[in-house]
Amino acid sequence: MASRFNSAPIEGPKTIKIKPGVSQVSEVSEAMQNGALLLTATAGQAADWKRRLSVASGAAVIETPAVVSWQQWLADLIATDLSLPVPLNRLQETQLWERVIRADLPDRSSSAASIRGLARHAMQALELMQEHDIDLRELAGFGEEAEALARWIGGIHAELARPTLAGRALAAELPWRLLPGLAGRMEASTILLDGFDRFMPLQSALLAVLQAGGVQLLCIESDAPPGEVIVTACTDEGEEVDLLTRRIATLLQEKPEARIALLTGDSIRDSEPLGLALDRCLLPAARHNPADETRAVVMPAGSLFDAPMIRQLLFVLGLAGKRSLALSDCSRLLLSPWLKGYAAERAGRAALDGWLRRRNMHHLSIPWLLGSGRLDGLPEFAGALSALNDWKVTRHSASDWVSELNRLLQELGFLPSGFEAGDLRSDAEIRLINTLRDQLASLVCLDALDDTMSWSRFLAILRSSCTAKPLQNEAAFPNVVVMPFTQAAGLKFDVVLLAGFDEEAAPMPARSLPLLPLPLQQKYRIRQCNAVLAYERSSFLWQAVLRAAPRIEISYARVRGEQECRPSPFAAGCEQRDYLPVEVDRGSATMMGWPMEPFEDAPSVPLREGELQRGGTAVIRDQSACPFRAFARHRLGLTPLEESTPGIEPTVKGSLLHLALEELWRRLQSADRLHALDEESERQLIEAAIAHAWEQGGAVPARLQAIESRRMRTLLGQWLEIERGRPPFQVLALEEEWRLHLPQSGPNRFDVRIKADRIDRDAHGHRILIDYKSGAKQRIAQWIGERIEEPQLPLYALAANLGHEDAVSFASLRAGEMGFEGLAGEDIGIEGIAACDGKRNHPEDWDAVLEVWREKIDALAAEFANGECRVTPRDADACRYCGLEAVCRIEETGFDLDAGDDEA
Amino acid sequence: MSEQARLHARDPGRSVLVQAPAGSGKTELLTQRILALLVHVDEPEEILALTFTRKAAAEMRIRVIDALNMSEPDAAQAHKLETWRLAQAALQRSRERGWNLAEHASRLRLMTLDSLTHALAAQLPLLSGFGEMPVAGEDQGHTYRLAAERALDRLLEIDRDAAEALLLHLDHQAVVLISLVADMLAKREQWLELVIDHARDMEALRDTLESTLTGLIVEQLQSCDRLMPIEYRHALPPILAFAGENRGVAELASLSAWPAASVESLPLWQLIAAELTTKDGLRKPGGINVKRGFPNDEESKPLKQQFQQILGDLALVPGLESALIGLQQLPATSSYSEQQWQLMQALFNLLILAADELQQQFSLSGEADFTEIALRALRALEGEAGQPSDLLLRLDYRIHHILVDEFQDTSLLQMRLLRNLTAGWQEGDGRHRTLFMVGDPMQSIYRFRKAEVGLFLQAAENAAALPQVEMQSLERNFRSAPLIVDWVNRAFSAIFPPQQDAVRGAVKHAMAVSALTRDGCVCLHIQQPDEAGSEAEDAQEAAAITALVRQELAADATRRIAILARSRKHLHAIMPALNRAGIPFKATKLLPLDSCPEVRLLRAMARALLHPIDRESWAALLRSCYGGLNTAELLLLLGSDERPVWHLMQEAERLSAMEPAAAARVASLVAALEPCVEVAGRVGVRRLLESAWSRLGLAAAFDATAASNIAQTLELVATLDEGGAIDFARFDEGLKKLFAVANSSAEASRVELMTMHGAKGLQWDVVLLPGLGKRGNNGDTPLLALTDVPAVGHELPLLALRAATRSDDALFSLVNGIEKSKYDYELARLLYVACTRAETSLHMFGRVSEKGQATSGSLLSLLLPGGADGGCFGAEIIGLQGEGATQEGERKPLLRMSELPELVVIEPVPTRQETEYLWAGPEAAPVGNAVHAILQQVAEKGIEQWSAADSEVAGLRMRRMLLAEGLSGESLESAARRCQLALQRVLASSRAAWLLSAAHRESHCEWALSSHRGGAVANHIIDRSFVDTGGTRWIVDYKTASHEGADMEAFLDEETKRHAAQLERYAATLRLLEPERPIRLALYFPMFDGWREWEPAHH
Ligand code: SF4
Repeated sequence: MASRFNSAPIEGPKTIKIKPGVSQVSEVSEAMQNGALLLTATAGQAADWKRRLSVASGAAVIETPAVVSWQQWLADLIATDLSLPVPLNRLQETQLWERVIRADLPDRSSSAASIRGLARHAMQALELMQEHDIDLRELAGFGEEAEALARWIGGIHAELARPTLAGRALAAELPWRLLPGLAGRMEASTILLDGFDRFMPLQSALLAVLQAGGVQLLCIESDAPPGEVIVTACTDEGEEVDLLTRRIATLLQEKPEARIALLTGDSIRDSEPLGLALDRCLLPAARHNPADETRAVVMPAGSLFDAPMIRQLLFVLGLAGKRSLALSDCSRLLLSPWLKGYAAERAGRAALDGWLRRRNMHHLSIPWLLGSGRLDGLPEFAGALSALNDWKVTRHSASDWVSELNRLLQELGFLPSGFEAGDLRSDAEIRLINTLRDQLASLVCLDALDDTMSWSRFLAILRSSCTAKPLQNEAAFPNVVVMPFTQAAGLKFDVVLLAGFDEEAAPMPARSLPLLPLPLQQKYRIRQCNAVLAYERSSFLWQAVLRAAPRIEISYARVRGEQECRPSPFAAGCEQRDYLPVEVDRGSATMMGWPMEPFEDAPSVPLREGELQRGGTAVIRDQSACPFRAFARHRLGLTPLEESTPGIEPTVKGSLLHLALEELWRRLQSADRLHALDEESERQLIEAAIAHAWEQGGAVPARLQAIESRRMRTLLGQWLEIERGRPPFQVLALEEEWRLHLPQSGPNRFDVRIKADRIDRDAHGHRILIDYKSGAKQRIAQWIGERIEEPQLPLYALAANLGHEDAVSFASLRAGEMGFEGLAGEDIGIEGIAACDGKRNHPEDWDAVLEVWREKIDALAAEFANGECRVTPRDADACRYCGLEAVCRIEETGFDLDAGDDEA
Repeated sequence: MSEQARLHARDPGRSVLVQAPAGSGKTELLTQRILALLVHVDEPEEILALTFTRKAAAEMRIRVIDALNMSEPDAAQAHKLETWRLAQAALQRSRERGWNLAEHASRLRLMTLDSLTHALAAQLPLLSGFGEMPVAGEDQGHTYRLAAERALDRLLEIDRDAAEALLLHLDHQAVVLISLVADMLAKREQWLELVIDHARDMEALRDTLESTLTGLIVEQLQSCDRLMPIEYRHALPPILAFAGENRGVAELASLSAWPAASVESLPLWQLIAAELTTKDGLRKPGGINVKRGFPNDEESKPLKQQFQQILGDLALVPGLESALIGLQQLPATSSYSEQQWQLMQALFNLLILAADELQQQFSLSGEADFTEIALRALRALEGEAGQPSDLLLRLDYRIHHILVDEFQDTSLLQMRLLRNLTAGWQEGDGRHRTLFMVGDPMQSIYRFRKAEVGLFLQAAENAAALPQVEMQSLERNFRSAPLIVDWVNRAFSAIFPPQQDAVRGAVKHAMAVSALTRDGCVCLHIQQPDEAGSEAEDAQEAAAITALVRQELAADATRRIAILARSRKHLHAIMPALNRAGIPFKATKLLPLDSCPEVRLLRAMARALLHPIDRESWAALLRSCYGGLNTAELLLLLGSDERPVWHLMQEAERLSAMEPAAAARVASLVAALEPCVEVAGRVGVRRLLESAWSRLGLAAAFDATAASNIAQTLELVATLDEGGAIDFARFDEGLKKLFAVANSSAEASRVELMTMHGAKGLQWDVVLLPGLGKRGNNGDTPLLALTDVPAVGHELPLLALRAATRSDDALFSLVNGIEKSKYDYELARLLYVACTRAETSLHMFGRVSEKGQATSGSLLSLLLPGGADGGCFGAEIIGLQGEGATQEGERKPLLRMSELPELVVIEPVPTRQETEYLWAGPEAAPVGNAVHAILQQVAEKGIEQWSAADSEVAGLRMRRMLLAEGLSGESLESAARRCQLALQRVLASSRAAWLLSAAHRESHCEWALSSHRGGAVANHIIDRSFVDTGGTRWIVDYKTASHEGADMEAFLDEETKRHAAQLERYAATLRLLEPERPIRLALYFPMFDGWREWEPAHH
């Protein structure tokens, strides 16, 4: 025996008597052949009865039995009663509620989502009030939320009283009006009822009228004994999924057409992992076909919105009428396969995306893009973009939006413009687009509310109607169904697997509804509003499941998430066992067994003549950091595809400063002239330098230009102050360019082009080579260490052939860190340029330093030229911002570069 | 004492705050209290127990349910007797009141604070403003950033000056400003309401902030004042005045009395402090000389000596030295400078915009963070007037007893909620209500999750605006050996601060008494610096730890061992060492997914498939274990050609230049990925990746751990899917928060590796703490200091912007200093938590300098206040010997598949079954349905009997149907006209006269049939069917498409083609019903009286 609970007696309304009549399918069948009507509590039950009766008949084809769900029955009765108003459809009703609620809320800023939610709650509350015959006045005195509900219902009635909505009503309010004529309209003399755990006042009233009119009411009570129950405990949810997939596979092997229900308890919030495991197990071949979207079994319906095509379509529509685009949105648009002409323009569109990213176009204006000439090779994309750009967002009626949108979707390529639309869509994709069209067409019903609406509102309605539209998957095994435990009451299967059946699943906790005051809910015993009702409901469902199949296999996970779980107390008396998984435990480190071989992944590949087109200091810097990186960046051309960032990029700021300083010193030329500047002429000089920088410099959004100019002004002023503190000097050269042929000897040599920002000469003839840095401060250690981290100055020293008298220095132009940082043979009187005197960790001998630099640079260049490209980073720091980890496979060499944060 | 405290604590008549240190049996106490309360309530829902995690709530529920189902313990289990007794009483109550308690566990309201706020907000859709409950998501970093970015854009438009000032303050780094604002959004519960309330009156906000600042300064002055012995307050002024006179410092010279502890006297205080201290501490008496204003003459001598004497004495006053130094760092005034305030105002404006943008983002995405949900729930509860209790009552939250677990981890928001829940509890309203909070402030280590230990301290003083509670402390420790308990007592009474301080989160130590008798040990293994560098040191430590683990396991294989580190990085060297030693272990949350090779490959695959020009990612596939190309081959393939890699991979000449084996690998890669490239962007990303992964046979190339890492990653991908594409920035962010799964075998669970934070609440026989000598990464100085200062009944935020990028100032330091103190005190508590996990043995490891000093900022520096020679509070000190194996030189070769798996060829899909229909406008479907319905009526009645009156009613019905289908206005009228026209055509048609005649045999309209095969049932509806005089069964389907103009025949042909399959299905069904009967199929077009008929195919 499976349970300690007896089937709960049906609690009939006081006024009617329902006989617990028929119990077996054959009896039901017979009654129906004699003209009985079978009413079920849910649509699912109606469908299942049709199936059962059809199967029980033994015939291959029968006339579909007269089974209908309670809701459908009511709707049919209302639709065919010419004396009743015509109910608003769901969408119309929702919009009407939203309109009333929006007008009622004091705070106009309430979000659309919030109003949508309130409308949904209000509709539900009104339906329940009708079903339970709760008078509107009962809402009084229960506080703000209940009073708002009462006001909104009043508002709806006021709307319905307007002439434009004459002859219309809310669907929930019509059933009571069926009472007078109902008895006369019934053809069936017997009504069978199934699946009701109790009757609401509305139901009782309708049934009572029928009974009084001579209709016999019979209740179907299954006399089938409860199924055999077995409970399996799994260690965790992964194991439970494992158990269930194996079990279903076995059951299908034994009997391919077995009707199997996999019912999920509340604690399984997402049945998708289960679905995926079933796909993998039952349809192993389908995994190799990305386009095959058939699922193994019938899963709970998803939503139209979640289909990639529809998601993209709605995304694209969201850009309609916009004047500017975020780069991330532009990328999505460029890479959307449904946008017209994708197949032909795919490469060009991807390339454009790359170009925009390199330019860090964080935001771009559509008119600019259309006029930029960048779309020359992409006529179809340009067409789609103009269609979006030309979209008019002024108010229209819903039906106008519908037809306009149809046209736009054709222009964008989502909808074919005729039968002969050339692209090959899969069946699934055609179904999707047909469904979308139906959804779109259904929006014309909003005309009835005589509204024009804005584009954004129309789009929001379209989006939510796509979200609300269920999309049932195709299943390879339509006889296997995954559904929540709570929806299975009244259905019959060959086997039921009841998963996740722990304490959280049953008995269920009490759950109350918003807006409707809780005391009212309790007074009218609405759903599961308190623990007692929740317990009753849970027991009813449990009994139903026990009779859903001859065999019920319950499972639960002992640990779910990190939570310890116990089986549902309902299953306490049943036979229990532990699941013994077949596979080795997950997480252990055994290889899966494909034969692998080691290989020499980075043999040296000497540089070929003319191979390297452009080489700069980066080649040497990268070679020093990691030979593989240098190879990948400079010979394979692997450059990162960056995301754009807001504001001006640091590199752009840096080059603007460079340009300004170049201009500044082009005009000044010497310390004397600098000292001679008065305040005004300094100001003018700086302005001119900045203006020059903007002329030469990159494209920066206008509103940021002014801010950057202000920053430059401050920085340049401060920098000149620092230069004033130096001993007298002359500018020798600005932006002098050298071409180094490296390494100095050897068969494979390459050119390194470098440009020194500035070379000065002081009164003692010292040459001072200066390189501006706007990034993080450089430490001397970085250029005199074992493996040179920052080879720029050494390279300059080499190129300019600096000698004992000379100095090299970075000029740090970072706010808060301004100053020189350099080395010289002797003290040349500039703060920050250290003499090589062996003190304070400085090197002792400048000539030796220069010599070492020469050797090291040469060695690195030789390494690069010889094609030395092993994955040997200098240290974990070298890898920090590299980004090539997936290519070099550094972790697999045993190198640990976890760059995680500290603590917690 | 402890027993007495326990009894009080579970007494259902009292409200209590219990300090329950590590191992003191807190869970048992909570269980007992819940059981005891059950006897006193009308419904179990009146008891609300709040925990911090769902796990804890579940555990608590299980404890209670287990107690209820427990059988009477025998004598050996006497300690359970009390619980059993309480449970029996509770069960009795349950039976009396029909609760079904033991079976209906959800009646016990044991939940997390987050689920409580969620439930409240959901119950109040209007007041909370949510309408529809959002999905609660913890990781909203991207939303914060997006909101911040948009806010900055808006500020640039509406208040350029403010935006400019802020940007320039940050060296025009928009990204930095955006992330600063994003950080602030993440902790908006601290400032949002205050700032919004003052949006129109910033001066008032300034007053509030400045008076909080003043409060802080005064508090520091007062504590300094308190520390200064009274006699010196009299003695010092004349001495200092003397020195001031001699040095010509007027302010000092005029010092006649000890200053008051008020802000006005702050300059004077600072002057005095400067006289008494140098930057290193109190002045040494020897430093008092002529320079300090005490000439070497007889006149000065007494004062000088007195001063020297005082300085010597002051050094003995604990806390005074640091207090004096602290004083000098205080800002000279407690007000913001004009420039600072301008910036702060600009920032507030930006923050207000950002908060608004955040709301919009939340409502667009249907997600929200927990903070939002809690803030809205609180807003709903507090209402306009802030009278929460009525509302709760109306919601039927009749909560009479609240229990809060882990109270030391309470955040500001949670405290506010608690205040709300208890606000209506008045004395003497006849209801019996209690509040019970339990926790251990010494174990408060979750500041990063917004825990504020100061709230515990306030509550203990009954200064937290909660109902009055009694403070009880448990002392008995049921976990650790006496030796460990004693050592912990000694060490932490010195390491923890001597005074509690709610502002700075300082908690002093509370003594514990061991309740056990077993042996134990506490050792500190000290490591000397190694010339070979830190890697060698790590290796040495790892070797020592491995040896110790092996030794422990050898002594007793059932022993449970934990290796706990401050940062997961510190455990990295240990894992390979354990692996080499063949010791299985369980590493919880240590390896971030984003650095696992298989995850890197999967990511590259995603990028390559979704972005044709991502060269790096394509190169990764080519160099992967499948592609297996070396650098020479890669160069041949990719060198000096910038076209997309996918293109190059298919170029015959390139491939022919390569080694045949390499070329074959490339060709296989192309063939395998081709179908994926084809549909990239059109199918879900998870589906795309899964298929690519299996097409390349990669599952078999990695181990089982990798497989679960891949599964986790795909899970993440699925949640980010935006319709065939994902945002990689969010993907990367998500990956950083995921970790490789731990080995869950029973064997491995004997040795666990985790962070100290993760170890909270757990215990082991042996605990090893490696890397104590390492410094944590306590981060850069923030750009904006934000802290909160407790006030009565609420907390006040305090903010200061750093003076400029890469610089510092005093006001900022004051505010930031509070946060820093909180950090430092918590660090000591982290060590406490780690040490108290041990039941029998505690081994600590750390490295000291050559001079025996621990690095400052390290945990070891707390353990060795006097250096290695000063000892470690009596722990056994052992020098670390031996060497470990470094990984240096052990570079492993890369692997590739020796042979590539066989390519799976995809069979082309057979002919197309679905037709894309031509859209005929929104009226087409409603008109079609209405016409169908009317034809049914006509046929049911028989067209011969149809009257004009029937047509009139039919017109009405059609109209109703069109209306119900959503038509209105002009489109309704035109649709109705079309229906009427159709009806007229039909009535006039000779074809219809036959088709819809009542004369046929076995005729049906809208004939519903069900057929079944193998258990599956299909339902069909046939518009019209009958048997004609020749005995043929007709199956007719109505098609309401219209056609105007020429080429009618072609149109009918096309339609017939489109619908033939459907009619053939009907024919097949009917053949089952009437096997012998000949069948004829037809389409009828009522809109223009069109007709097509044909013989069904024979199958
Ligand atoms: S990640 Fe490190 S090892 Fe790999 S290429 Fe970059 S620097 Fe070299």
